Amino acid sequence: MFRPLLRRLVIGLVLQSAAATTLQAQTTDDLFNEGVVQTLEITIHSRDWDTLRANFTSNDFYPADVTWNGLRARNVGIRSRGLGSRSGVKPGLEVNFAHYSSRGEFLGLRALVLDNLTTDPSMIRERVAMAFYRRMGIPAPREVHANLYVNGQHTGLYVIVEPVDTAFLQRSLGENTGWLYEYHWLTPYFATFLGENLDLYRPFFEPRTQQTQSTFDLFDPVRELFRTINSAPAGSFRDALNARLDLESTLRLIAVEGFMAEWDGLLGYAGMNNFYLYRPPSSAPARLFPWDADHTFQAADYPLLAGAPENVLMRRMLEDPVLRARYFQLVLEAVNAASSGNWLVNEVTRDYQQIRDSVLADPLKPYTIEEFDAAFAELLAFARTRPAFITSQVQQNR
Amino acid sequence: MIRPTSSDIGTWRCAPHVTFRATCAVATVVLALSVPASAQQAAGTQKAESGVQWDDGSIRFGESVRIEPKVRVQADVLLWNDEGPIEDRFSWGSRRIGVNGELFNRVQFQVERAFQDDDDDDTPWRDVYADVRINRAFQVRGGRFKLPFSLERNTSRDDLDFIQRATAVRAISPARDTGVMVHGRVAMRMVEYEAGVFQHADGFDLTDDPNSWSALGAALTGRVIVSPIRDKADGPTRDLHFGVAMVRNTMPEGLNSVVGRLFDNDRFSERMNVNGQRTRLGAEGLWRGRRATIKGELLQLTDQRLQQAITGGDLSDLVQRGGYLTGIVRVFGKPGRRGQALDVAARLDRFTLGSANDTDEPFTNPRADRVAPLAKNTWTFGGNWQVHRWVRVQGNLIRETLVDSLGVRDINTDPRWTAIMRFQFAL
Repeated sequence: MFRPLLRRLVIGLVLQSAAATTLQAQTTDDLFNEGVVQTLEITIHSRDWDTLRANFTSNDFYPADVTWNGLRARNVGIRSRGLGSRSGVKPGLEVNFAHYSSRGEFLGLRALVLDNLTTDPSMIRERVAMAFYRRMGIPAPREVHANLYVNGQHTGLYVIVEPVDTAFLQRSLGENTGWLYEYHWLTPYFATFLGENLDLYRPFFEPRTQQTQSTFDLFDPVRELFRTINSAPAGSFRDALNARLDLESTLRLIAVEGFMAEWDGLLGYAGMNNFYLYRPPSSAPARLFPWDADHTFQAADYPLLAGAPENVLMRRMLEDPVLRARYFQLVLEAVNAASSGNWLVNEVTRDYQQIRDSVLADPLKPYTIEEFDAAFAELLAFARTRPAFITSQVQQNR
Repeated sequence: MIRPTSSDIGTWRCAPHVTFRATCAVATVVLALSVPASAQQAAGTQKAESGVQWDDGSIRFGESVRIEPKVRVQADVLLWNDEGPIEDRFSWGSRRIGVNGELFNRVQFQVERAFQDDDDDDTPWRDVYADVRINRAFQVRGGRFKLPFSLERNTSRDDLDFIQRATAVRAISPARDTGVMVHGRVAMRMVEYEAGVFQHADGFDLTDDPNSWSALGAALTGRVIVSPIRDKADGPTRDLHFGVAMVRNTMPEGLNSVVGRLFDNDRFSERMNVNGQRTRLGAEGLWRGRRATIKGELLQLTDQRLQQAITGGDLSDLVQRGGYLTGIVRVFGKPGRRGQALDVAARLDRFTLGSANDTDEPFTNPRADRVAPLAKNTWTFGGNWQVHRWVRVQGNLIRETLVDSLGVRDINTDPRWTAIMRFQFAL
């Protein structure tokens, strides 16, 4: 009489064990697996969701549960995010796993960004750009497309973006105990020296770690960095700056941005934008990380050195013969990385084909499917013609 | 009404006092200090001739009318705190003006207005009520006044033992409201009772959402105090009383929980979503000897959170508890506030935030089923120097500590010290 019961018990335990093993095996590599369009579910009190959408310009957090692939993160904080991409219809979201508990994490991540893709009709610029940064050896956020459901309702196609935070630093650099700043675009700023007052630097460089440190500890090194950029004598410029800023990785980042026609990056049309600055804990020089690349691939004939004369950092680097030569060398490396094996064309095509059905099903996308297809065609043309254009630009300016 | 007990071991001031702008205050001080002397000189003849007299700060018209003007000015000077350089040392504690009195030995009244928002209130008017005495056992009060809950909340600000009320009292006890209350003394005056109904006990604590106000339910209140010993002139115990109280009302859906605050009024706990019945329970006790007083309270507030879960289901009740224990010693001076006196006092108070569910994983979010526990412990050491019947100087040293027992919050748990002085004129 107990045998059926025993059998059910054993089967149940085996199944439960198998399920647990599956869940335990999930990692961030699975979450950012570019081979699939992920599915993310958010459960949030209906009043809170209505309030978030009505007050989408606010940064207020609301509690929610987030489920991915059978894994549920409870009581996470979500908020509306973005600058030009803010939307009350299809909100861009920050999912913060630690907002309501200092122990909170999900697969080792403290937070995720859900990019609503409302400023990019192709819906793949950001993801392709970040993949290219990584291909060029630049630490950049991992990204993957996902269909988002809120309280069971399909909210559309998003990109899950790995935030630049302590988890990202640990993964990319093997340590995360330094000072991380998020750059905020407030006014057109071209790396000039702002002045002696440390409070002048605070609005531009928001501390994302070590926030409780004194103003001096936080911002004196930032001030001295820009003093060096602006005041170091030409003869000692390279050495003086290299002590404060890793010039190899900086040149590499600017070279890749130049190749990708990023018109809203370090050499942006309206000043510097979309980067993080990280000062390691030792006396090692600072590094820059890219962020928010949805304005890349602006045009296939976008000038390589657009924005360079206005930006003090880039102008002075180009005035140094060694740095100038290295820069153009890195640009050609980017050309090669994009062309080799038709990488950029294949990447754009693969991403387009992967998400097209999801774009069709997206009920809240601000673009028609025809606009999506046209944007893809432009990107494809960019991928095919940009290497030759950039090669000719290098030959002209070298 | 059950009167609040003064820490100064003595006289009752049945009404809160009146305040002023600074210039008015100075003028009033001069007037108040000068008029009684001249008035008293003429009192004998005036009393005999017209029935109008100036008696001890009140004006009497014969035997049937008494009117008493009230003024209160409190100025605070922050001496030191842990927050770094102090930018603004001076602040007004309270400035109020008003009048109270009695008509025909039957009707007591009070009207009082504040000149600043010193009670988180929604109106500058404070106590505005009339109290009709049918007999000692049955009196009826109507108007706007404090709800009968908490000994310390019902103690006038100028009679407080310390510059600020205990954290739990500030957070849990309701403030003033418009309502009707019956009260009286029975059983040979040993038992006092108060029972009333009020319009919206927690209006002062609501968000600006007008829907919240319309959904706010009336508050039912009750308080009973047993006083086995009252105003005994000799013996080691002059007063002894114990009491219990309850307030119940309905809270509308929203971020409408009460919050705990630090001495500087900054919140240390965030508002939580509530919906349903709010129940306050309180117990109080007081022993007063010839030179010492010990008193304390235990308070609890529970909020239902119907349909407030992330999924739309019910959450466990939100529970906020607290209490304090105060000891006061009169170093010199006679009981009461008529002459010079010096008291030293100490108070330990505690306020905790949590939920009925105390087993699941804790979170700090406003829809957490198990709210991560958070407590604040406060030690307050003080001295009260009664310079004159109307003038008092207080000094407090305050130590506040937040306790995050499960380590879920990113908060500073180091003790915060504050030293502050208050200069008070209260007529």
